[in-house]
Amino acid sequence: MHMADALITPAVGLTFTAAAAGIGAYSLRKLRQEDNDERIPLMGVMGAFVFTAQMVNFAIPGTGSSGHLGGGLLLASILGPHAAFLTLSTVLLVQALLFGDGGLLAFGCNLFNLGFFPCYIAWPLLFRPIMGSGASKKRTLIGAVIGAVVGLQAGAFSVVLQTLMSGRTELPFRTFVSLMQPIHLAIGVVEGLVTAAVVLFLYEHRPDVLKNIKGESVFSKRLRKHAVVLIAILSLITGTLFSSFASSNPDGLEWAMLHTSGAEEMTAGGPLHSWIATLQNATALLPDYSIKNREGMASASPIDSGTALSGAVGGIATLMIIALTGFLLRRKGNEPEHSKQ
Amino acid sequence: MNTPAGTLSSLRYLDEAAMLDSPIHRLNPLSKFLSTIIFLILLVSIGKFGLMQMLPFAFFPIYLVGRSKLSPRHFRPWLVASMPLLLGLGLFNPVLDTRIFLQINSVVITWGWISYLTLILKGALSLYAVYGLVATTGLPSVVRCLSAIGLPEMITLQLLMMGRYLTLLVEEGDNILNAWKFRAPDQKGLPPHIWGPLMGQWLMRTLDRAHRVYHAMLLRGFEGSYPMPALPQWTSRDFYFFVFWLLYLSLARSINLPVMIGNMMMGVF
Repeated sequence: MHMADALITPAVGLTFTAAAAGIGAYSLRKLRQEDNDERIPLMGVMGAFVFTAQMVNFAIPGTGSSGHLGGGLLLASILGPHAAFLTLSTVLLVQALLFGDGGLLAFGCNLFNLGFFPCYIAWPLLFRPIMGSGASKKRTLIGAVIGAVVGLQAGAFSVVLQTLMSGRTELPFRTFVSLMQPIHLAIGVVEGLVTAAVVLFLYEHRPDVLKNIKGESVFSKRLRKHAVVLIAILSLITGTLFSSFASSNPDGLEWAMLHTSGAEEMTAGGPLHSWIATLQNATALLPDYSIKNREGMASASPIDSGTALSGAVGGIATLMIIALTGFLLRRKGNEPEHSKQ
Repeated sequence: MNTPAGTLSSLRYLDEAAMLDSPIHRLNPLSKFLSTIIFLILLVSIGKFGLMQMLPFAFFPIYLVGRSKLSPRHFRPWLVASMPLLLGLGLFNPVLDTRIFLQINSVVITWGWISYLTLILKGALSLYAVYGLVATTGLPSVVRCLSAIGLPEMITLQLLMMGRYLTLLVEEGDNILNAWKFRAPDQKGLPPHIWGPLMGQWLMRTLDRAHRVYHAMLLRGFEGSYPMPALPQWTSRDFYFFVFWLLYLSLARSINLPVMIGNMMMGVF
């Protein structure tokens, strides 16, 4: 599932873009060490292949429905995790730029969800170890299905967290998780079965293509050494994040303010503050709206109906100006020949 | 995801649209690119209930697409690709947030509907701006802009290669799938026993193609990098375009223009 720009806040978008850029920089460094120029066109063409293969419907036996290929696990099997991650980054960028599938600001979120988990978790930690060095049909099938399911479950859960952190929808955590995880379980099984089928076919006819399955370790010795520390830091961040979602008690900052000033929120005075407050009240459609105000306000509106009406009138006026602008700009067509046919 | 035929049509349209001539097409790609990024950041930063505040943002994509005389008709597949997710996830907003925003006689508008409409409009505007950028600039120039803001060369090179081979591979995929469909009509999807052979052979052909491409590149002097054409010089027109939209969008983000207009029309000021 591709995240859209509208579902995230700039903070979430830029944080995940930074995270994806960090993983991308690591992948690039590892690829440069390999010094294999042939991989560049291979990555470009494989990216186009995955893009096209995502349009193919795969019939799910016994269900009457069909599923699609994500391609992360297959790419990692052929190109290795580093090249696969970078290839997926170009696939996602092309999807966002040429088809509007996933936003530009949400690019980091999408790359993290659809690239990091299959390439750096599912493939090196599950699919490759379970499959082993042979091409046993059973082990390949089990490895691919477990890898794809875990990768997609982690990606789907990450979508839930990013959406909740952004707070653009009212979806409760439990409802969202119970919707997302089962759907992606079915998609993961299809992804795993298709990946296993293709890998087994290639093993039989072109084993040289799958040389990465026997390749070197994905993570450097130094990274492995610090894995425990990294996991501890990530757990701490995640724990803090969840506790701030779940707790009805004051958060850390509020707690500190409560104990220092006796109030959970600071009040300010002075001419500058009152001037800013006046300006804010004059321009804000939703003055003084905050999450805290929501409790006990089931029937009361936080703004008076006069302001709401002004907003509605102004909104209609703005829409009319927009429509007029659009109409004036489009009086003469400039259509390419292709679209006129 | 689109069908191969729909994808090919979109790709061809965007290719041809980028080659047209208009005041927007003639602008420096970087000026359009940076303005679009600023637009997206400011738009996305608008809160959950900022429906009114968001309306003036519509001028930017409407100007981009309208001034370049392109048809919004080809924008429809973009909406079809992205909107189901927003419509589905946002639907919980009116269901769960039933606080009253405005009541005129028996007509009640709840905060949930305001946040739902905000989400949908935000999604549509962000898509329309990216559509306007790509349709008037073209993928190679957008990639050049990404390179200018620091995207590594290996990724920009891949993006260009992918852009070049996408049409070819989508056509090949379409042929393979059509050949199968003609032999196996009325089937909902590829049956499991041909997943490996069909996809595997298609993949092997792709790998052979990549190998041929690489050797052709070597013959033309490829040494691991690809010289990208420099972006054109900024003219005063590019500068004014960028500064105007930067100021306008910053103003629209900091002041609720529709409410201000509404206040004036209602005689508040």
